[in-house]
This record gives sequence, C-alpha cells and structure tokens, in this order.
Amino acid sequence: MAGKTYVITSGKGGVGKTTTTANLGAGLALRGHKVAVVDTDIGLRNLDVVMGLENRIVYDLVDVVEGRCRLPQAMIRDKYVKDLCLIPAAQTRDKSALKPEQMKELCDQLREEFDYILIDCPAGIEQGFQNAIAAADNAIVVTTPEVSAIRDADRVIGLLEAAEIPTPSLVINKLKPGMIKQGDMMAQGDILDLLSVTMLGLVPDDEQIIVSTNKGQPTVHDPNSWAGEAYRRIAARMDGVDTPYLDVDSAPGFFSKFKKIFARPTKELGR
Amino acid sequence: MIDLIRWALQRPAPSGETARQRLRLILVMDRGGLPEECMEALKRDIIDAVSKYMVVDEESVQMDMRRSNDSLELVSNIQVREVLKAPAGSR
Repeated sequence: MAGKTYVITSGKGGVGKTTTTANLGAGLALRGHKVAVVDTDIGLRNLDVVMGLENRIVYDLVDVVEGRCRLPQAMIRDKYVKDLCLIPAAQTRDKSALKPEQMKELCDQLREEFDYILIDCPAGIEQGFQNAIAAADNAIVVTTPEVSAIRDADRVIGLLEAAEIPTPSLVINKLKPGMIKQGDMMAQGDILDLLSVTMLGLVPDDEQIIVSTNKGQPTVHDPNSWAGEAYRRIAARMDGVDTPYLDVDSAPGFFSKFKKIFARPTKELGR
Repeated sequence: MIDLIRWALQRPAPSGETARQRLRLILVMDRGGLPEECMEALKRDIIDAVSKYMVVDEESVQMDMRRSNDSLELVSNIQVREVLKAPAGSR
C-alpha cells in the first residue's frame, strides 16, 4: 500500500491551514480511510488543540526523527473517528530541529500504513515550509478572499511548482456570500482566474469554526455546520467522488439576518 | 435638489473589483514580469520596427516593466542616431 501525501499550505498565516488539515483528516477518516495528520509547525503547534488531543501528547515529531521514540509511540489516536492519527509538532524546539530529508523518511514510513498523510505546513516560506513540502506528492493551497492572502498564495504556488509538486489545488476559505453579493469581496471565480491552480473547494465563513475549535472537535463532525458540510464535500472530492461545490451564495446568512432583526429588540428590552 | 438626492443615494464603489485589479498587477510583478526570453524577443521586434524609420543604437536599448498607480507600464529607452527620410526597405 502506498499512501498519498498532501501538504496543506498558504504562505500567509491565519487563513485556516490547521483547521483545514484537521477537518480534511477527519473527513477522509469518516469516509473509511486510514489517515495520518502531521503538524510541522515546530515551536507553534496547534493541530493538537484543534483536534482536542493536546492532553495525550507524550512524544512528538522531533522525538521521532531524533530517535528518542519509535514512530508508533508518537502517533496519537483521534477521539472521534477511528483510523485517524496525529503526529504532533515539538513545542519547545524551532524549525531547524527538522530537516527535509528526515520528513521524507518519516513520510515513507507513514505511506506504508496510511491511505492519506496530510502535512500541516507552518506559515511563511522558510525552513518550516521547505520541511513540510519535502515529502509531499500533492499540495492543497488554502487562501481567503483577501488581497494579502491571495498574493501569498500565488508566491507559494510558484514555489511548489519550482519544487515540482504538480498543480496545487485551491481551497478558498472564509467566503462571505453577503459581501460577494454587494461586490465588496472577490468571488471564487475571480480568485481562480488570478491563480493558476485547480479548484478543490469553497468554505464559507462560519462562526461554528470558532465553537468547534473551542471544543477541540473539528466542525466536519457537526451535521448542522455549513463549513463542516464544505469540508465533507472536499473530502469526498479528494476521495474521487464527483461532488458539487457548496453553494455559498445560498448561505444561511440570509436567515440569520432575519433572526438578528427579530432578536435585536428583545435584547434591548431586556436591558 | 436632484444632486442632493443623488449624493445621498450614492454608495461607495464596491471594493471587490478594486481588489481584483490591484491583485492582477501585483501578481504580474511578483511573478517577475515577462519571462526573460519573451522580453528579449520583444526587444528584438521593437528594434526591428523602429529601425525602419530611424537608425538606433542597439546597444543602448533598455526595456523595463514597472507599475505606476493603477496600471502596468512597459518603458523603453532607445537612443536614436539618425532619422531616415523614407522608411527603410521602401522604394
């Protein structure tokens, strides 16, 4: 068995790489695949908290590559879905504690056991980025509909091409349908025109993401979450199932606006 | 009065289009402009075209892409040695 490795990257920080990694990892595992997610953000690990596994960490990625433990000892089983494992980053070291060669060796081992290996890349394009992409056969670039995020995504796409990782696929996160309708946010089509990539998925801006991060349970597990549905569809698409993009134009924003209108006077009365 | 109503109704232009236009230029510049070999070919074509009407110092020809405000500019600097009275090659 030879698993597929994906690096999840963006250049810019805060666009949702870690959230995307956690949700796609869980989404693919829910589809019955064996999945490993690897946090390569050494010194600033976060994938563990997004997945709610921070209390189970004993060994980390650097412990594995430096031989202090065997690979299975650093694998943390997910709480919510079987066949999902996390390999956490080291928190008290820095990016120089890992080398691209070591990442390749590690992922070669993981490929034998897992169907999918998702590598959560740190922000930036320095050593940490080079480590994260070293073992990747495929790349998922996450961006948001903002000038700075798209610019950084374009830089990263250039670097991925230079590293001979073929056509990265794009996830556009934090889309706000209301703003797109008003013309105050670039639409998905505009963004795809600017970047030379293939589209993988659209994720609407959803407050539920914050709730799920608070709890440490990826939103893909929540059947009522709009962003969760987006991630379920992306996972299906990665799995080779032709799934329509989430229609972000018919966002629940329409109804929640009504709710807000009715909720407002009550709140004021309550004061 | 009509002006006043118009002013009151006026909404700021949607910024999404501004973002798209700005990004288009930013990405061209970030990607390093025109590839080297295209720039060389373009330079050759421009020298050939101008040479029909004047004698130019080919060594001096400079070409550059730069951004100015809201557009992308191709700037070429060509030193002219002599102006021809009739297009070169015509009889």
